[in-house]
Amino acid sequence: MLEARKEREFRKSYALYYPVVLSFLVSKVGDMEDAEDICQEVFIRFYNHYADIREKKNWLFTAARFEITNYFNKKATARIDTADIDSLDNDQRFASEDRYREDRIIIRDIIDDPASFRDEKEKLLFDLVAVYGFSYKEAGRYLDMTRWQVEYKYRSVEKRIAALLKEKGIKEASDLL
Amino acid sequence: MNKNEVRNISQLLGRYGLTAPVSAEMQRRMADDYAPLYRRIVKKAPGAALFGSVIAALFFLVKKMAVPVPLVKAAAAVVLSASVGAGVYLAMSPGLHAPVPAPGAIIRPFASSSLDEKTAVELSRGLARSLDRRFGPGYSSLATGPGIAGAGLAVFGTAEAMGNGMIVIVKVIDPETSRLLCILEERFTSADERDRAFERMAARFPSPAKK
Repeated sequence: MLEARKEREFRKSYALYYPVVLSFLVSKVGDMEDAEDICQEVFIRFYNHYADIREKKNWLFTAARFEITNYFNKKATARIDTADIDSLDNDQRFASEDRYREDRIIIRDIIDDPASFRDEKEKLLFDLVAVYGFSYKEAGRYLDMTRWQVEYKYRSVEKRIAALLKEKGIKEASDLL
Repeated sequence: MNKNEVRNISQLLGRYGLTAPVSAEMQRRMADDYAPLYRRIVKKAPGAALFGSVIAALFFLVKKMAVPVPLVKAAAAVVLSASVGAGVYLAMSPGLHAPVPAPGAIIRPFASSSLDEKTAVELSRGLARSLDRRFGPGYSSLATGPGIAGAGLAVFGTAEAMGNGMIVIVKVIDPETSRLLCILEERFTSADERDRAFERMAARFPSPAKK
């Protein structure tokens, strides 16, 4: 019975986090099959430690970063650290432009801050739509919402984030409001 | 992405390199691999035994159709509440009980001195099937014990071998008054003829309403 309950709860977590974890992996690894293999490993470990995990999303992303590090270390001769994973593609582009770099840090802080969102589901919705470019319908598939519910909720999050960005002095945010 | 969906924040994040768009093709593939990947994980995870494999299959089927699970739950809840509500309403409303079906015909297995019991019973069933086709499923039944209590009509018959065929004679009686309503007779030599003979009998059969 305990196993059945664990599996039921795991299934719910998998359903909720699968798209963001896999999207994150695809964006870092670039190859769908490799991303799925890593995703599988991450979720197997997640299943095995399920009862002890409090912050499920954080745990999954930490595990995903760890697995990506292993992936690159296996593939390449040069070793990389887990901390480098987030800067794999973008940081270099903006390294020379201080203003951009500062704004980027501010924006990132806001969209990574759980306090910017009403609940975790709202954060997942934002990530799927704004960060990973999912259509409202596709995002709704994973979040148990209709296309219209997703659109409505996304619009309200968008306004809130834009207001927070404006408060922090991000110039372009004014245009969004 | 729908052309009408304006993603301003998304564009802003993109300008700062904070987006990682997943192509529409990859999104489709993710949706396709959603359930198979789950099965692979649960199969490989030690201790997991796919307890809820049927539930999981349904769960991911619903997800694949992009129907929100709460919507499915809500629909199930509406159907359940409607059934329970209707049941309670009918039970509490004296004049609104479901109509009681009219009593049909009870057929006693045909008697025979020349045929074995199995054949005689099979012939009785043949007549019952023809009556059901004419008056509706469940209209007639074969008596399994003594008595004909509750029947609208009582049917007694005999079946005998005759040359290379058979003859069936049936008496239809009103159990309330013991009045003989009619006597029907048919002869046949093949299975096809037998079925047609029972259809003719059923056509001449008095319905309980008219008796």
